[in-house]
Amino acid sequence: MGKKVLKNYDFVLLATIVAIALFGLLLVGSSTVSGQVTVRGLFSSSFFLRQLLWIVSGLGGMFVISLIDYNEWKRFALPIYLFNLALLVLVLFKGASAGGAQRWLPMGFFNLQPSELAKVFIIITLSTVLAKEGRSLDRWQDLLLPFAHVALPMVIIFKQPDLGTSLVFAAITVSILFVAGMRWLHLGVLSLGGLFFSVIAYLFLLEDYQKSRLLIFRDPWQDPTGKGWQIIQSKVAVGSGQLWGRGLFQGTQNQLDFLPVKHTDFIFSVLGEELGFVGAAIFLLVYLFMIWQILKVAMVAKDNFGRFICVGVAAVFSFQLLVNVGMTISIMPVTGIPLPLVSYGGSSFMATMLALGLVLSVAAHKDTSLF
Amino acid sequence: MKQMQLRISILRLVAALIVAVLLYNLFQIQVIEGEEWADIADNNRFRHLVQRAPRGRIFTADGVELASNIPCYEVALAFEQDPAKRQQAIDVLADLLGMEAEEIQNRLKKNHRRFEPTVVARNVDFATVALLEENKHRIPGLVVQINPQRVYPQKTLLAHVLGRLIDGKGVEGLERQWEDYLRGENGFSVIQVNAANSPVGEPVNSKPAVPGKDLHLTVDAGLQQVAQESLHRVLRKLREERKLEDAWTGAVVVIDPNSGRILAMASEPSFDNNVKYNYAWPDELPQKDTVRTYRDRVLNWRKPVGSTFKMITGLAALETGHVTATEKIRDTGSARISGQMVRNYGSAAYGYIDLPRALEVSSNIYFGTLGSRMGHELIYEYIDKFGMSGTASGESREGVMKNAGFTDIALDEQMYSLDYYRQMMKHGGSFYPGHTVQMSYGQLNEFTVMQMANYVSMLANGGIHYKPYLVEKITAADGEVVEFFEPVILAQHEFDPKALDVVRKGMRLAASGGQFRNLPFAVAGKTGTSEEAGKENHAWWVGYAPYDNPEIAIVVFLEHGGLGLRAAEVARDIIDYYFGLK
Repeated sequence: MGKKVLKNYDFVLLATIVAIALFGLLLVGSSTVSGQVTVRGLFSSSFFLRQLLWIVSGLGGMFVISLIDYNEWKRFALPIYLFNLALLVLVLFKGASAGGAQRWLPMGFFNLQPSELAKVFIIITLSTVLAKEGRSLDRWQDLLLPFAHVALPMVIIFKQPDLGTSLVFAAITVSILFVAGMRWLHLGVLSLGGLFFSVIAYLFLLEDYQKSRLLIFRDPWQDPTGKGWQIIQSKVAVGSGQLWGRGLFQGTQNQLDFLPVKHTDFIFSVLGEELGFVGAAIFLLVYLFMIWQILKVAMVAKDNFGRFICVGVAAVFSFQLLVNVGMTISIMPVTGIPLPLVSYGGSSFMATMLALGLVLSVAAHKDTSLF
Repeated sequence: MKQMQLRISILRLVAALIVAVLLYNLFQIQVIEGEEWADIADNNRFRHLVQRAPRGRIFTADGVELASNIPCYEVALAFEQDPAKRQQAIDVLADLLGMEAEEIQNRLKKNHRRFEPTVVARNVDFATVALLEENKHRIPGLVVQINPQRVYPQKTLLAHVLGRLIDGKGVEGLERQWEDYLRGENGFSVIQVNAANSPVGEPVNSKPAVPGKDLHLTVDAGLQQVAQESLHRVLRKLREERKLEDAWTGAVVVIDPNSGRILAMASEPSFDNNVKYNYAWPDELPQKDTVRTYRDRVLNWRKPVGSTFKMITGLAALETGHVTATEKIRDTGSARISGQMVRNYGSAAYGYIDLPRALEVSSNIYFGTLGSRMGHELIYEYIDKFGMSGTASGESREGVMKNAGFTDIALDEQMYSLDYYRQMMKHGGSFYPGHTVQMSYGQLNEFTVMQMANYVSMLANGGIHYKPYLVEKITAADGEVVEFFEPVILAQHEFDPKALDVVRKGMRLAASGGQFRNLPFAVAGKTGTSEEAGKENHAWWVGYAPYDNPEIAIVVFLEHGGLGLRAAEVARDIIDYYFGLK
């Protein structure tokens, strides 16, 4: 630690993260303060204040975690895994429900969403499993243990039900296995199998409300005030932003409450409406830059454990970016997945900070002798 | 190790691909389709509300309100994006208003200005509005606006002339012709609403309504009342006492011969203008041809005018030297003139008579003789001088449309005279000298009552064709006079005063007895009885009073009224009222 850590510290990634988080804070402010927006007005929004609190404490936590050698976590892999399962089981029985799903544990001043933390935990424990010396992924049976490892928490989340987050688990697993050396043949077969399973799952495992919610995005006009409402209004918001946007705090879809859950899942609609295509494009490119930077850390990591962590985190960002932004413009179904770092919400933000802390730690503890 | 680097690079490309897909779609929606989505966003947030301008009122010369407005509720639907919500609103509205859902649907479809709510029902009473307000939550987009509603407080008074509205727009009568003045300008306010359909902030834009302008007519309400009542009473009497079963219709015009101001114009049967097209049909009326029966007999009807035409024949013959004031023609009661068998009423023979006497006794022999001397061209020349020429197709002999010159009501709601000669020529019929003879005592050609009023006025004033008019003054809501119409001279003919005097003398003689006894002044007049094949004759009376200093010209027409002198009773009622004799 010490000198070497600071010398290797990825300040570019850190700056990018801080910039995106502060930008998200501004959007949370815009989507929760109505009328003439002033600095005082922003600070009167409890959402804005809380998000500010998450950002300050989250960045602090991230920085602390980044200074600790990530390899320390390996030792606690089993307790973390069990703790993860315990939280997920607890939420099944004690969780607060909203929108037909039980996802939150009331924690007094905020609601903990264990499935958000579960993403980070599974990245740590799966990476631990796959980074074991001498593990090979050449044979079919080699895939069994990692799959079983992920399947257990994933099924519980699916039962909440939280289809979106369980799909994030799939993205994490496939990405890490891919980098860990899974064979192309296996990947191909599994992809086909996954596709087949999806169809089966759609037909037999999903509740009706999940089915209609999944497919309504193809034709939101069949229920424009019910299930299609948020999809339509979101697309109207994004589209009406045109090239330059209506101006920050000036979006009428946003300010007049036509946009639903705009500070959380549909925060990107506010961005699209108020800052237009130019704003959206700049944001997406900065976001892409962050993902590339995380994957760059994966390349220079000193060991596979660190590498897999970075790959898992990059997978979460990429997948959620696609599904969340895609949802606001009707090219993806509405699955209730937030936009990491930008959407309002404590659990999501803290989990994201934890994950990015690990990535920064991997960067800080890379083996410079290799280069 | 190398393999891992490669695979991480592949993941980077996947991430880049994701961003590329998103950017492509965003470009499509925001840049290419952006304007359409912005329109939809505006539709979301703006409501255009119309503030209806009260329509201009119509007054008689003495200030009686003929057309007015009362506040009424109008139910409208604001455009609702969501078809399901829209359908719900339509269904609930249809139910509560007792309308067909389809009808509401059609109205919505016809509204191409989505910012403005579509009017679903007008004239909704307060109780229904209260019911709608209670069910407001079930009717997304409901807008209740106050819409001034047209009423005609005097009901039947001048009903034929006032006209009517469809959807607030004049489509007939004065309401149509003066639409531009009466309509006023609707105001509007544009408000911003939020997702819950509640107004947010001050109206974005608004303009107050400008009320329509008021028309002030030349008609005197009292005289109009007398004309209508008298006409009605006399026709009823003819049916009941004379058994003239077809005597239901007729017309009266009273006009100022020195200006063309119309003082009264009545048509029978009349109707309550407020319920015009729900006619309460008189049970005893045999024919059920509503439109024909209620048609305005003053402007939109024409008939042969019988002996009331004889002043034209007389004046033409005197001025052109085909007869002199002193020449006497032998009247044998019946005679063959130019091959045409001519008979007086009752075949009465009057011996040798001059022109005034011929008018007094209404000799067909005398005027038939003048006609055969002059020929039809000369007669038509004089018809033209009195502004009464026209053809079956409505064209004048010079190719210019001519009617009485009255333009306060659209020309297509008025009839033109029928030129028998032109009609025969046009349709390849034959025209014989005998036709000229019949024409000279008022058969064959057909004229409107308004044209007859003109003609009598010109006899009274010496040949000035004043444009007959009804609208004298237009005022804005604040009372300011916007337009004032002075009398207009359409044509001025220098009739030979001596010839005119001879004709007038005949008219005085013709109106010296009967209905016109016991008057403090002399009256000029002429009865007429015209024939219609297979039907009862039409009764006419034309004239002016006082004889020495004409103040009013009168035309009375009783369709199938039998004898001309019966029309004189209506004229007497008018003279009595106008000169305050009763």
